[in-house]
Amino acid sequence: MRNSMKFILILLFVSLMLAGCKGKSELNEILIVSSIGIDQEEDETVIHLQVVNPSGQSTMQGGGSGGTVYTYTERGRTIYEAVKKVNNILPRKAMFSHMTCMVVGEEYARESGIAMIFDFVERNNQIRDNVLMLVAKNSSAKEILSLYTPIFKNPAESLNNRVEIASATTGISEGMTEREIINWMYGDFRDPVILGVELLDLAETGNEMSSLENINANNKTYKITGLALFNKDLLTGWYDENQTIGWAMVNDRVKDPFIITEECENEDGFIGFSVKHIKSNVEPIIKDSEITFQVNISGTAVLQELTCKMDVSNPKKLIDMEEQIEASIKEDIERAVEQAKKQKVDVFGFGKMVYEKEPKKWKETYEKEWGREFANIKVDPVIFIRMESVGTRVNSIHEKD
Amino acid sequence: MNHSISRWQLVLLVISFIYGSSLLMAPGLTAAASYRDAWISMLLAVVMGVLLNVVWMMLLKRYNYLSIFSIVENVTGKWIGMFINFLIIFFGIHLAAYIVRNFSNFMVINVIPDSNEWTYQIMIILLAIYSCYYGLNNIASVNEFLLPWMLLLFALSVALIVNKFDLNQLKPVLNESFLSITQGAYNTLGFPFIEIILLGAVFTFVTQKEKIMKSYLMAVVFAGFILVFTVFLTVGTEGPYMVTRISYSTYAMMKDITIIELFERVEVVIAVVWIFGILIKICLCLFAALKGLQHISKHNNYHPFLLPVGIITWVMSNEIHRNTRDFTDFVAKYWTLWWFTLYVILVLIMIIGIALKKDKQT
Amino acid sequence: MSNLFSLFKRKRHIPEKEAQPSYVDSKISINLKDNILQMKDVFGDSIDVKTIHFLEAPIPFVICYIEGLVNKQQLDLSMIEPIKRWQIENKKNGKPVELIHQIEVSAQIKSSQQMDDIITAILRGKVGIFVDGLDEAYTVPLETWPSRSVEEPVAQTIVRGSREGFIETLQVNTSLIRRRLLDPSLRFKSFQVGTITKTPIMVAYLESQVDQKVLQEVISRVSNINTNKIFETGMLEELIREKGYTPFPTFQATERPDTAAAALAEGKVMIMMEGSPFALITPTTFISFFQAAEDYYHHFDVSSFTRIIRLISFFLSISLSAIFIAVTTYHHELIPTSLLVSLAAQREGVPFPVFVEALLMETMFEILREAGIRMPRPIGSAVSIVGAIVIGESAVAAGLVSPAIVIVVSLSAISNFVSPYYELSGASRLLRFVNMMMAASAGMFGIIFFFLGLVIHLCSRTSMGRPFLTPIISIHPDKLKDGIFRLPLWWTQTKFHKKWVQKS
Repeated sequence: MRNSMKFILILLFVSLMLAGCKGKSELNEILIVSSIGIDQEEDETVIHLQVVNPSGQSTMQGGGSGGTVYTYTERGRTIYEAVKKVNNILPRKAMFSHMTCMVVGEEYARESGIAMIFDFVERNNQIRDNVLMLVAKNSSAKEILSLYTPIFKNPAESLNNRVEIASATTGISEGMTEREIINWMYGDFRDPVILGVELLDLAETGNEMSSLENINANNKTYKITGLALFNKDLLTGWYDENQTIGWAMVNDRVKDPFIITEECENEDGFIGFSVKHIKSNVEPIIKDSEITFQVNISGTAVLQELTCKMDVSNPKKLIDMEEQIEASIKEDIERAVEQAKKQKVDVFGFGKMVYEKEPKKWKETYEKEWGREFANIKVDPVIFIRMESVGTRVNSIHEKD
Repeated sequence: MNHSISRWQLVLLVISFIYGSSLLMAPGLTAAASYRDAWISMLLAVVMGVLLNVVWMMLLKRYNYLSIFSIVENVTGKWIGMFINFLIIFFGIHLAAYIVRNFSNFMVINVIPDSNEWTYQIMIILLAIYSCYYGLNNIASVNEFLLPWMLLLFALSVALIVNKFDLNQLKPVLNESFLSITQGAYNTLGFPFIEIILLGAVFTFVTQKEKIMKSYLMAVVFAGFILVFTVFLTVGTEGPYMVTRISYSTYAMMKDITIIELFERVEVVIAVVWIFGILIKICLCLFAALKGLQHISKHNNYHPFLLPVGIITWVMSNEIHRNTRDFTDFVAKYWTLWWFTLYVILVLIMIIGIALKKDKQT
Repeated sequence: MSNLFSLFKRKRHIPEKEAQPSYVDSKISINLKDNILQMKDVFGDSIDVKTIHFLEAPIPFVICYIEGLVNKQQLDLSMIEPIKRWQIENKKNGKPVELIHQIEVSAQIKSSQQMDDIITAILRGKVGIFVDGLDEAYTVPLETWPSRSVEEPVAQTIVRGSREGFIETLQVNTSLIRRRLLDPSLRFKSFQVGTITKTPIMVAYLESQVDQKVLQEVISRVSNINTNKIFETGMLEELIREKGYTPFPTFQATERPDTAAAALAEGKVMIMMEGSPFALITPTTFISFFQAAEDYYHHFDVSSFTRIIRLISFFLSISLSAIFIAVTTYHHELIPTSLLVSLAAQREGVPFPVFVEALLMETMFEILREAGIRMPRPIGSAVSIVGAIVIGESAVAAGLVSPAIVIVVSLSAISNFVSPYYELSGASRLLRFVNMMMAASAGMFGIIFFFLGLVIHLCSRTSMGRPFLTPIISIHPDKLKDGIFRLPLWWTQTKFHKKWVQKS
């Protein structure tokens, strides 16, 4: 027994050696897909695979050759068909596990709807669930993916980083991931929002390596803009940046400080604040047929800039400022809600909140009628901002004017 | 072949057996029926499982923890006893085959889709046979050596994922109907809380038999709570909608761990914990089957049966179900009933034995 | 087929029965001449065997010894001179037995009627003396032979601690142990192994501490050794280890008397051999290969830290190259994007798969290592120059391998030598190649399977009836205090302390 056992073990080991090795791919047999763009062209779906050129990105001595990234484009009836076809032009096997970014063209989002994207993305075992989704505002995904970006050699990395940096104006430091959107759309019966990315007014195109030599960095770049609003899976409108902050406040997604600039009261000039430590929660209050959402927000603000005469050493002035900020935030929220109501999209997840609070009532009355009911809801922001400090200087130089 | 194990090793074996393959399966199985209240289903399943096991252990205690095969033979006589013993052996091998299949499914769906599932099936069965070759003591030692590390790894990955946890995903609590909560509990009761009656072949090798029942039940409860916690965490992190749709939701949850750039995609950690649990579970199933075969053949060791049992397991794992959905469907719908049948048969036999006063014979 | 099976059969080495030498059963004759003839017959005319005849003396006698094994000065002073003096004084009055009493040595003079015994004793360096008219012969212990002085151990060097090391002479070694353990219950038991070499072997233990079961096991194994030649404790190890294959060393071999003494004090058994500066310690546990003698001489926190480093480096040496292979061929998602890109850039233009690359570098390293050990010292520097060139820059520059694999292989090579016991590095080298193959065939999960198999294997091993993984499995809280961590001495020694207090 002992001998035959060893013999069989060795045989099986050898057979494993032969049977294994499937599914392996050496590093120089794969093409790292860093981002994917999806566009609509007539009736067909167009995909753009942006792939990394390792030797172009190499930091080793001697440098590399060619551009840092390349974008391949192919069309098909569905995304997967396009992926199948794109294999005809790819030099190596595409590998999706390092894909961090998905850009959807505005036309596609308005006409086909983003729902068509998700099944392929979810079912693929390589693509991560937390791929960042972006909508190309006023442009196609192709244009976004056709730019070389300065500083970052990998545009996808650049995009990811931009979302966080842009939180100073949008308030959202973590972009919407694919899984989150699916959860919203199908798990929480709420309408999704996706951050937008917009091309800057271009004097010349940035789709050549030589454009990186130009010192004027604005020429070849894009910016993160406000949220795209979706009705189910169709794009219906855009938030501006202030509305986006309002949305982020209600959903408690403000993690990093953001900036508010306000006009001075009674005087010419402006005051700038950075607002941080924002915490918010929403309390639905259901009375009879009227639903009010009380949004409780607290946070602190730091004075950053002052261009009018104002004596900030006076504590009372600080309280005035606090009120000013509160009013500004309140306005942001109200405007955001107003537009959502106008577009009839529940992007705040108010429906889910009602369901959490009164599951039975929701099922009986609201669920079917929510589209109509949503137009009648009231939002009551209760904001408490504390001026923490006035920065590293007390008195402003403008006081001497 | 050294079979004797200590009580502490038994406790660890039970923990591995219970959390083992359920770690990745439990959230999906429960959430399929009870959605947001999956963790309540799981809790219910733990309670029911513990109750069933209390009955089981009390009966076994009357027989002074004799091997289940000897009990059956003593009570029902040689021929019927042999038939029922074969039934237990079949259940053991069948369970092993299911776990093997489950494992290879996982590997082929999630990890390396281009690879051949046979590779993984043969590998894990070989390992199990290798451990069984050295006897129960080896299985228990391996478990004792690795389980603390596995629990540590699990705790570590949980600590890393906890910042993605959102309590709102679990609200409103207790909204699903009682029926669907029980349905969720039913889905996961057989797997793993009734399956564990296979350990009836193991108790007789424990050296300290005094407080065996208490330790055993504590282990079941502890491992049960690991599962409840896992379900709670997974549903809270992934959202119930995703959990019902993802084939291995715990694994998918761990994909989201991102601690600075370096610690991305560490879900392989949870796969390690899971594979280890699976290995121990397969070992125990095969051990029970082998012991049964040894009992029936009256051979002085079970080495001659090692390879045949391994090959049967491998064949069964491939041939019973046509595809992965067929497999999952069977597990969710009939598994508990399937095992409950065996449970009832064995419990009845033991009660009859006590009625006939055959329990103190040996 | 049956031929194939026979490949895996365990071949027991059974030495052939040799023709019994003629002297085995012969007795010492009363007639001196007969004895002289017999001796000539046994030793032939080997020139190092000196037979000095005193046939003209009143009581004729013959002295026989082997040159080089006997202290000649002492032989003259304490044997030949007193006997001569006594012969002159007593003329023919003395009895033959009284002649022996004249020998002035401190050790005991042994007598035997068996020729066999006398010859063995002479071979061991004693002086044989045959006296006319006696039917027994005597052996006088005057042995001395060239031996190394006690020096610093080469294989197990330390920074702090005793600089003494065992040498090839058994007596010196026992004295080194004895000087460290003044406990009267220290026992040395002597055995003889090898039908040709007749090597003396010594089993040492502390009667008050030793586990009798283990002791009996060791004694029965040592006395049942069936071989004709043995030259080193490494050979001894192979003859008395447990059944079944394992790449891991089964005994702890140490050159250091302090380590040996510490092991004895813990109740372990030590086996020493004439001609080998290495003592074997048993029962062995896996973790003891990561414990150096020095650990106890440094601060406990520092020592615990170094132990963890040793464990990590053992793990690295087994699995680092395997993990690299698995990650770069199967699990690209595990590598951060920017690192993946630069790894991919490095691999551009490298013709081999990563597995072949790693295998190439590992083999290259093994060759260099082996050459470095065997080469005469003056050429050694040449090896290191060539090694640096081959392994380093030029392999990369030639486009044979990528720079990353050089780092991986060198790190795993270096971490191989961190264990204080050199034997373990052999095991980890072998396992590394197996692991690399598993990684190349099934990726990360090949590695997981490899480690699960390794743990099953380790759990199945025993050392003298004790589990090889002792403090880790079958947990004894007391033993865990000095396992992976080294807790302060006043914690770890409580049990010993209690025992000691109870005794006194």
